[in-house]
Amino acid sequence: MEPKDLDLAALLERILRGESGLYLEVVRRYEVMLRGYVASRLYDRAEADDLTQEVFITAWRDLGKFRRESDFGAWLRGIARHRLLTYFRSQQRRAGATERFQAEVCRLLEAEIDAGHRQAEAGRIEKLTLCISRLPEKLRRVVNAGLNGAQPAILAEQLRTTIPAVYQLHYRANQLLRDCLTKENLS
Amino acid sequence: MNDDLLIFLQAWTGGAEVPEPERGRLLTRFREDDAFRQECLAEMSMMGMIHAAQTPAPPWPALQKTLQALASAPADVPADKPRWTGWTSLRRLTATAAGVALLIGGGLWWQTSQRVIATVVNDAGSEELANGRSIRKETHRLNTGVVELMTSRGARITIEAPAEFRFESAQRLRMTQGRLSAEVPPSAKGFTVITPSGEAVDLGTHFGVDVPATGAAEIHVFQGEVIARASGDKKALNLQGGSAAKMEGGMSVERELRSSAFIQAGEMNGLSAGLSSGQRARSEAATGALLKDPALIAILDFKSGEAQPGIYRTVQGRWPGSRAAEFVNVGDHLKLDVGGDREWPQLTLAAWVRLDRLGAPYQSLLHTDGWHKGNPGQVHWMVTQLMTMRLALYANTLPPGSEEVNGYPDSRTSVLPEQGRWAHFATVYDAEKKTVRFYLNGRFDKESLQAVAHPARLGKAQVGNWDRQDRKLSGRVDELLLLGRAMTDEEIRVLFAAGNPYR
Repeated sequence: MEPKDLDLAALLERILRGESGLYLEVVRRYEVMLRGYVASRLYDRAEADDLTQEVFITAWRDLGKFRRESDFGAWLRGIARHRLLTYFRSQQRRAGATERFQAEVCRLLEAEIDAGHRQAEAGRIEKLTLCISRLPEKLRRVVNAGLNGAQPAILAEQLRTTIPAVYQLHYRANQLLRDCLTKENLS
Repeated sequence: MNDDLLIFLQAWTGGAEVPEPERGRLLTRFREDDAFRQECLAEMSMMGMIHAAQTPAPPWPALQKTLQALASAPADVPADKPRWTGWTSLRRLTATAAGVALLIGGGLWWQTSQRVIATVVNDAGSEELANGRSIRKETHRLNTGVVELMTSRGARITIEAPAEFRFESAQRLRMTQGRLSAEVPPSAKGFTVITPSGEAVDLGTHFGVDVPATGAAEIHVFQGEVIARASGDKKALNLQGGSAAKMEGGMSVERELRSSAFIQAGEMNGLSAGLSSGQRARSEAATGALLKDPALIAILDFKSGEAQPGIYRTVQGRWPGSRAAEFVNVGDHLKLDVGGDREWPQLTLAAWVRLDRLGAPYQSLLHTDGWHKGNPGQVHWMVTQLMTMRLALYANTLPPGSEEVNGYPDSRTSVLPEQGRWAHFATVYDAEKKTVRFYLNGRFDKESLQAVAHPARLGKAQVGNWDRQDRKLSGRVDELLLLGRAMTDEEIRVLFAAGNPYR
């Protein structure tokens, strides 16, 4: 049987029996959800992916502690939440205003660990890609570029508009994407 | 969108300045107003999902290495039994994982500052950063050689000494001096190089950044697209493949592309192998022998550290930590005064040259200043617009029926394939035999005959750009040799073989 055909319990069992390579199949199944979750707390795409990798390494190290009857995705998000808080704490001394703000927001969301996570299941992400491709060109451009660092200023320059207007465009795009996802899930 | 949500997102993404009191007020509302918090969370979650949907997952190199290391660990139980079971399995798994992770990442998951951001995957003569070295967020000073790094997101960065740089993250490299070329795959799109005079944001591409010790930083885009933003400039400049910009005085100004000025990943193996095989020692021995040659007029190898007069940059030569003259801007030149008033019936000119650009009317290698009527034998050595070498002596003539179609002795083989790498150019002039013989990379290329052949005369001369606007040079010159005798084919071959930095 191919690794992709194994259910999660069988995969974890075999990994614990020494087939460490199978862990990449676990990563493949959960990476989209976990990347989305981490990036929804830490809005720096590179840092978010580095941190996601650390979560997977930690999860692999602690695999024996995972209770079989539990939700594996929720368990990963729990590790991610802990790593995010550690990350923000370690950045405290050298953090800029944005990082300090993100850290405080992350801390305030501690109780809402699973908020929004169901949106980030793999099937839904595929639909999101489809929905992004259907956005009007201007909104798609804003969504593709993201709002990291200097991007809003660059977009404002390119679109001959203001930085707040770029945020408004992204917000409008997010609304359209939510509508699109709702329709796609109903269909 | 309500105003508070707009400001919240600006503060959270860092895309716009939000004053501290405003941040505090928003955090208070975020904590106390459940509806507002849910509204913010919906936007944050969507942005996170967009990230996951829009950018391919990275290859997870640290995780892969950890798993590979475990897979290659020796088995300590019989093959017909499960290797690990129950508590033993957990203990083994945990111990190995922790050990490997400590090795590869210095406590990877505990200290963000200790996270491995990049790894040295190739080096040529670097004393500071050896192959295999992990790069974290510390500042690195590279005094010699060239290193090739692979970031955790798959970007391939080649950095040439002298350089000083620090990774702020896998996607942000701050460079205060040095020259780098970057090949950025989709997984690392957005990779940014920050220089003292501005930054380059990659949009999926292959580009170079030059940060000289003094002067403005330059961005050169070989392929794809890069956004150049000079410090303090609100305007960003979109640079497409084949274009370049200088970031100076808070502005980005387009300039000519110098793609060949950058050592790229493909050149590294040859340089590295050359060093390993002992080429540097052979080269030094050959130079030492030339210094004892009684016919030596001059050898310019920049070793003494004594600056030759002129306007040029001193950069790394063929060998790690060695020096060469680099000519970048129109008007850059190096002055020489060699050979006195003597006549030289025989003259050998040879140089290691790294041409950045071809296509200008003439790339000037050596031009004597006295090129005028009544001063026969003045020497002009160059690469022409046809990308061949030329040696012109004032008042020399071609014999009737000469195959030379441009009025002067020209070589046959194009130097175009040598652009962007070190190449050895040599020309041997013999007034008594009335011959000009050309050599490229140690190989005899062509002999051209002269009808009238005056003895060569040197004196004041310039390497690099000469006084005329059409005599420029874009590139580096290392070890220029002027010898008052005709070297043989074999001597030229040996000279090239000994000094060749590649293997």
